Amino acid sequence: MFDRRLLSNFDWILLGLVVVLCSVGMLAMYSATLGSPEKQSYFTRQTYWMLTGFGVVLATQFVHYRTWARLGIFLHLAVVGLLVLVLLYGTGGPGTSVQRWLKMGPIFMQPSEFCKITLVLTLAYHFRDSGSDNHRLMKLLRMTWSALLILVPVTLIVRQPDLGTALLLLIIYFPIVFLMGLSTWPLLGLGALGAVSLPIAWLSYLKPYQKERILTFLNPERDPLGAGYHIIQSKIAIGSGQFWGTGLGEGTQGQLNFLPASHTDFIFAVFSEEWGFFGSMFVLLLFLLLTLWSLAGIFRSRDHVSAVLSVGVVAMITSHVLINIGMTLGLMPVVGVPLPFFSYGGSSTLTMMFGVGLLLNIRMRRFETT
Amino acid sequence: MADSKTPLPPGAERYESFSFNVRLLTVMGVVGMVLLAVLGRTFYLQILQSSNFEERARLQQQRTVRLEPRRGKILDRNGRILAVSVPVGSLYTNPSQLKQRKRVAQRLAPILKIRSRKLVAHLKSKAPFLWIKRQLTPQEVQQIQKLEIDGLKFLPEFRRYYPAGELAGALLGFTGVDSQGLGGLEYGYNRWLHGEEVAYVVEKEGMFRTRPEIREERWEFNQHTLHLTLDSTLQHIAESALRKGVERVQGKSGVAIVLHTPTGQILALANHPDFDPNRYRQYDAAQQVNAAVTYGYEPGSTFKIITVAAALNEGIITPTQEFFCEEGRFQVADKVLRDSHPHGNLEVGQVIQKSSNICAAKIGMEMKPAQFHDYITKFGFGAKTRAGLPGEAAGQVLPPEKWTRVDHATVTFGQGILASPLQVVTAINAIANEGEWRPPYVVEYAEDESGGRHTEFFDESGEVLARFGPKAPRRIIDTAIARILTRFMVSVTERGGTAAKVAIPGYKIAGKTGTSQKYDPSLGRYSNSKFWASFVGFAPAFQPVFTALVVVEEPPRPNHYGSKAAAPIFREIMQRALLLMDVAPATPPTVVVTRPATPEMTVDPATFEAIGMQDLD
Repeated sequence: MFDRRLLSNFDWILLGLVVVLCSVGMLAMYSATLGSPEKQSYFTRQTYWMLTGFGVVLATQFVHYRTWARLGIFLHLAVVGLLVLVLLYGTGGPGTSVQRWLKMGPIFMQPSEFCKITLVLTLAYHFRDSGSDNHRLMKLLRMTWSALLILVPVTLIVRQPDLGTALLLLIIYFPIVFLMGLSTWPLLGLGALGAVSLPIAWLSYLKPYQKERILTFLNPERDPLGAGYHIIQSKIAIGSGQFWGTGLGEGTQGQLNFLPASHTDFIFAVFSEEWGFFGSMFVLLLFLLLTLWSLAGIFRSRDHVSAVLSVGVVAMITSHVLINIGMTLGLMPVVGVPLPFFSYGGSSTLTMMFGVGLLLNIRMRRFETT
Repeated sequence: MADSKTPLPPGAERYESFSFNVRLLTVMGVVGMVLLAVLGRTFYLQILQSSNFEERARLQQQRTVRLEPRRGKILDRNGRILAVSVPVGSLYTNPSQLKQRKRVAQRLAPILKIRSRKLVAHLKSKAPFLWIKRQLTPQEVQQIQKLEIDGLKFLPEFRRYYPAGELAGALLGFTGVDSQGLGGLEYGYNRWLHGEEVAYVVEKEGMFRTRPEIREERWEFNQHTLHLTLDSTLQHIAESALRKGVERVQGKSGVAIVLHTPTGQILALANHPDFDPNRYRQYDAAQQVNAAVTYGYEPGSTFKIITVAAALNEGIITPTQEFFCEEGRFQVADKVLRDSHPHGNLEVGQVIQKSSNICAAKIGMEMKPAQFHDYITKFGFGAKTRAGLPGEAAGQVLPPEKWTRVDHATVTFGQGILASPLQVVTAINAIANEGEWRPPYVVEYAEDESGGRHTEFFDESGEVLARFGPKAPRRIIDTAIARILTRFMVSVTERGGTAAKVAIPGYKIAGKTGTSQKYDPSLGRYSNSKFWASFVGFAPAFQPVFTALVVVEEPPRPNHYGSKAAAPIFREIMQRALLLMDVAPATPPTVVVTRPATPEMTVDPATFEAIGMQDLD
């Protein structure tokens, strides 16, 4: 099953890109935790998560990606089960009304993180033979069925509530169905539905703190010490980095604790302050390269499973990157989305690394003829 | 486009593969464009807007803590220290880093002499940088260091110390805790004492305020040491004599100024009550003021010297000319002038000696108002002396075109005119200097850190900021006239003069008494019970070393005369000054002009009825 030929087809470039990104991420983590003693354990813990992550990458290789996809529906169902448990027994930390984590012994787990990758897997299996759908009705049926696969977990996640993750699932979903030949009209229809649902959601569904975040996003200065604080401080950090940055450990915004959540959601601001536009460009180009390289691989893909897996994993990674960095740059409202390979977090790191493992798996087996 | 080499998935059609690739390219394009847009945003923030954000970062991260720097010293003419900055430690902390605040407060309280409850409340502050107590003595610092409490830190500061305590307190002024001179010379020469650059510490703090640290210390100075003309010993003599004298007659306040006659240097400048700049907070604002230069008073009869000097110098009268003193009662317009004692005919010298208001008025009115006013101005009245003392009063002299006949008459004996004590002593010093008016001064030079002496400072545009040391004198009356006036003034302290008791054995003293009524704003006229008693003079009369003035405010009757309240103080200061400076007794010169002295007359205050204005000498 795992012969020498596979090794010769291994995509060292992709792995190299991920290793570089993870290294830069650890560098940023070093800076983000330097400032305060109580944060320093995060650096060590993230190192362990990273190493575990690479273990996951390696482990992923031993099982064929099609097997992974076949397992996908079971994993997805398991995650949906966990999401139900979250609503029943979940916690959001002291003083919060949200329920996002499941406490399992000493470890806090965030099932919605895993949902991203199980969704991709199950969709890949779902679309495995969509190329043979000759009838429009069959296509419609497949699309509808796929919508069901996402709507169940999205509904559960919205109930937590965690709009950011729900939105991310939709963002992962759309490129997949688009690639799988979703017609133009349903696509436009969904867009219109979204546009109509926005004001309805605003009026009836959004919680005050969620409204606050959006208003603050539109004008951070309306509450510079409250809700707008994150965005303002993040922009100040990034802006004061200038071209070359302030240097490792010299970012005053990050080091002096002006930046909240500097080791998680706002780690890009820490990095960007210390490494300047030069560093930001480097990271963004690495992500761009990773995205394009992985998507380009789909041109040679031999089946829909690999195509869906690739586009799904890339969509997952890239959407996180865009939303997270967009948020730190003040382009998007503040939503709790981690930056892949940078932000602290076990669930997120393992999910991303599993995705990377799948990409490598696909690339390695691209010439296989089974 | 479709890659023909790629084997199609089972069942896939050719056209679909084409569509698939277009869709894939679309996805790649969209993702690529969004990523590039994000890159553009970072370019906007980090390159185009960076200076804006950098400024905002600096504003929120840095806080400047100003520390009291080492100010320049103030020294007297013999190099004795009057003001000096001593190193002290200032205790600060970041309260969030303090463990067991209550216990810390309890241990600190006895050392800092602050009540521990108050200290606990203070330590509850959420500020990242908190002064606990500034300017602790080295002993206190040591005691606190011995406690070994984590989180307590010291910054080096300096504290202004005045070793001589109250000595020249009002003259020196004081500094606040932020090292700004707030009064006296400390204020007036803050620019040189403080230096041009402020010492500061940049301290940074975060929103969550866990780790503020002093990151940078900068000490940049260009401060100067001020060398004064003041003589500490003489200052002490003047102060103690003044205090004793004013308390003896139960006066409200007093001023004594001693000038070095040939140079115009201020040797002593005493105010009573004085204040200790080390404890400036314990005094009210009125006590911190240097009354010797900041307040005007009516000089009274001492001004007759100016009147006579002007008339003699103009050649309008001769030194031996006689005037009829109207037997003590003289009508000018609607006012009646009175003398303390009725006199018949008096020579000019006797007018000074006996201090006749009526004859002084007659002499003064021989001159035209503008002519007389010209001399008043020349003697320095109505303008600041620019002695280098802050807050100096210019006094008030009515312009001659506004003089009524009564104004003209009363100015001759020093009522209806306001002058600062420094102006009066400086004017009389011109007589002592044989007719040359010398600008008084108190700062000899400023010494920079490398020992260079400076007497002039200019700003960028070449304007003079300060000029220390002696300035050019100007002649105002002829030498011969000044000598004649000196003789008149000597007669004042001889038998028959108004201040015969001032005489110091072996020395000739030139002097003049002055007693003026205070204008009472609540009554709208001159008071019958409130007076300025003064005595001005110089010694030794014909080779003068010292010119001095003593003014006592509101000595109650019967000691309200210049001769009774001020003259004894003058005598004590002058006697001890002559002794101190080892001035040889001079042989008495022949008195040419004055007549044999008449017996001293006693004064009965009851004979003076207020007419709105009178001289009581």
